[in-house]
Amino acid sequence: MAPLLACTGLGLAYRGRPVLDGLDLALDPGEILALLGPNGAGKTTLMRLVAGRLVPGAGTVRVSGRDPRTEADARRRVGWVPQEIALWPRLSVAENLGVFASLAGLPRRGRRGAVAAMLALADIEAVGASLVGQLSGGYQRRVNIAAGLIGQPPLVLLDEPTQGVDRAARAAIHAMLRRLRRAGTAILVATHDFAEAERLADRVAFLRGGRIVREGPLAALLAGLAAGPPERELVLAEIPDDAAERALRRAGFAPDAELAWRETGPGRDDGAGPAQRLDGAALLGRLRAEGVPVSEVRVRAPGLEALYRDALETRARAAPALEPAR
Amino acid sequence: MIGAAFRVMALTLLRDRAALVMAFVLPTVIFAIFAAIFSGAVGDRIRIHLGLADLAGTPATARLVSALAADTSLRVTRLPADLAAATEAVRAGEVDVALVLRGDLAAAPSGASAPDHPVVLVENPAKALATPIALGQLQRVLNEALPDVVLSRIVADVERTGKIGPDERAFLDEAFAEQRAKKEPFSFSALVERQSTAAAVGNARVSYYAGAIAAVFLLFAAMQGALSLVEERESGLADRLSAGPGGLGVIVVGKFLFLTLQGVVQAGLIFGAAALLHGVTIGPHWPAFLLTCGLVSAMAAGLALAACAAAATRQQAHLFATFGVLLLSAVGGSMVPRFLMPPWLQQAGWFTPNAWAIEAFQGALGEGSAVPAWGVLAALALAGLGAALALVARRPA
Repeated sequence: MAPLLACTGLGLAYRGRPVLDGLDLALDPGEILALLGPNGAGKTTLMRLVAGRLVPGAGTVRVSGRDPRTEADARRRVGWVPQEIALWPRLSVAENLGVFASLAGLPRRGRRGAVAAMLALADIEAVGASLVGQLSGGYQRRVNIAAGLIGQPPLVLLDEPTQGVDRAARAAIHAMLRRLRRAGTAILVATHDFAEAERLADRVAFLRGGRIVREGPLAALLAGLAAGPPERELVLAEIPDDAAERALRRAGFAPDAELAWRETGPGRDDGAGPAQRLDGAALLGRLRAEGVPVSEVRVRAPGLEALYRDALETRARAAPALEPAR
Repeated sequence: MIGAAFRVMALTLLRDRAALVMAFVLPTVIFAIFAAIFSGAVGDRIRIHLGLADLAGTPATARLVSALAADTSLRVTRLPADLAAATEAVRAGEVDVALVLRGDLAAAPSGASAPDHPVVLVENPAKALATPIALGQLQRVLNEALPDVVLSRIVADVERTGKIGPDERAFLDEAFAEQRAKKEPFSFSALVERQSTAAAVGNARVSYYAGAIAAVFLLFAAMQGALSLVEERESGLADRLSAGPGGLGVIVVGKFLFLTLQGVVQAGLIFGAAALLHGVTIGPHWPAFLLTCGLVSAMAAGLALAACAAAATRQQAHLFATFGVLLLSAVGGSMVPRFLMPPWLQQAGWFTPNAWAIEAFQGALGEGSAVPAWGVLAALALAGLGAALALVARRPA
């Protein structure tokens, strides 16, 4: 059976620089695919191509076998939820959804029911009569997503759907997306949030420089890491001085954030050879003895973030790609 | 889908109280203010401020002063009997122009030397228009109120040529004085009969500036509404709507229909005020009037949407909304009547939508034909809408 979404050899250049380069992607109904990659990797461009907003320089995009760029029927099968809160702030939640229902081509008599169903799905019935501009960021995000779903499209594109929302709103959005998947909707979600991707995705695809550098079922990709050593991260109480920094590097750690250092490889002993891997408590004691202001040692099984680093950061770096202007 | 875009515009306007007031209260307020300005500028109510100084103090000059003071088309202020004081009053702007009556207006007796120019006009170059108006009014008042004096000067001229003698001149002067005493009209003072081109005076007089004000207001209001196109683009809404089955085209058409309807209501309010305050009669002309309102509104909506679709940023759109509309309105006669402009500017006015809107309203409410103006307005509306649709379709995502 042909996939719901099929991108084949997709290429697009912006001002002479490739944004997407020979990208292949397929998505089946009831499947959630998370797109991961640094800024400028081409995630949003890919979504705009699938939504029919851009013309590919090479390759094809097909939704249910049709070209969304030229066929309104194909676009009707795609619900695009952009990163921005793309709603009318002076209209209420229900009015916004009603307008999007009309623009999605729903017949007049079916719109009221569709709006009610969407308010229930997104769990926003309580704010149905409120003006969008007066809602909190979390509610606005939920309405933003609901507006993309009102036409009950079989394929939904979500560009960073939980950006800037609190934990409760994020949980509500995830619950909504899981309900959609159960109903058979295919979801393509671009995110920088590894935890979100781990919770939601059936498959992940890592993009860099306009190419998918690794792609597959999440469980299978994570299983490949299970045999390896656990990830270790140090949390420092203050910024290390030069001597402490040298000690950290000798122990096999590299800076990840201002006060967080991540283990990147085996440490070196005084003879500059590989050092014996110490357990957490021993490592903490040794580093403190060397004057490193360590406050915490975190140990965890490798997850999606480790996969991301492995897929994107350990390979040859490509030139940063440009996103087409909006 | 077009109805959805229309609904968004309507709800957005209804929710913005300030915008609502500006859209539907401002037209009548703007009209009332501009109508007062325009009614003077088109010559209907030009009442220059005339200073009068009677140095001669003769019966004839006293009659002239009384006649000028009684004339409703002038505002007269009596000045001290001194040329220097009158000059200072004009320079200081206390009056627009001054007439100093320094000699008797009646012709000098036979043999006596007549002083040159019994009347001095003191003018201010900054108010040059006041001079011909004052001269014209002086001539008219002389003819109407002092015809015997005018005739006596003519007879004196004839006497100087030797065709008549002093006795005959005295006889004629006496005859003129008797005719004046009997209040019998002098034929030359009734030389001109005024006829108007308009059957309904209010329509011809006011439809010019009501149309002029409607054109500029509708352009401003349409630009304000069309700015939502730029806002939707900046917020990402346009991008999202473009990805819908109907694309952004249905949104533009929905906005066009809303702005056209809004314009019809606004033009109706402006002409409603014109009917109430200035006696404009719309009733017998309502089909043509309604069509004109629709076409002018559609023209404003089309051009505003095209400008906003072409503008890359909100600043560009604002620039056009202010300077562009102001420029079109100034050249097109929405600020100053075009007949007062230099000929080349009057010709340039035909390249502005305002001039055609004014033509259409004048034609619809008067006796002239509005058909050519309707054609131009319809073409402008369609061209604007077409350009807006093409621009939103071509603009990169």
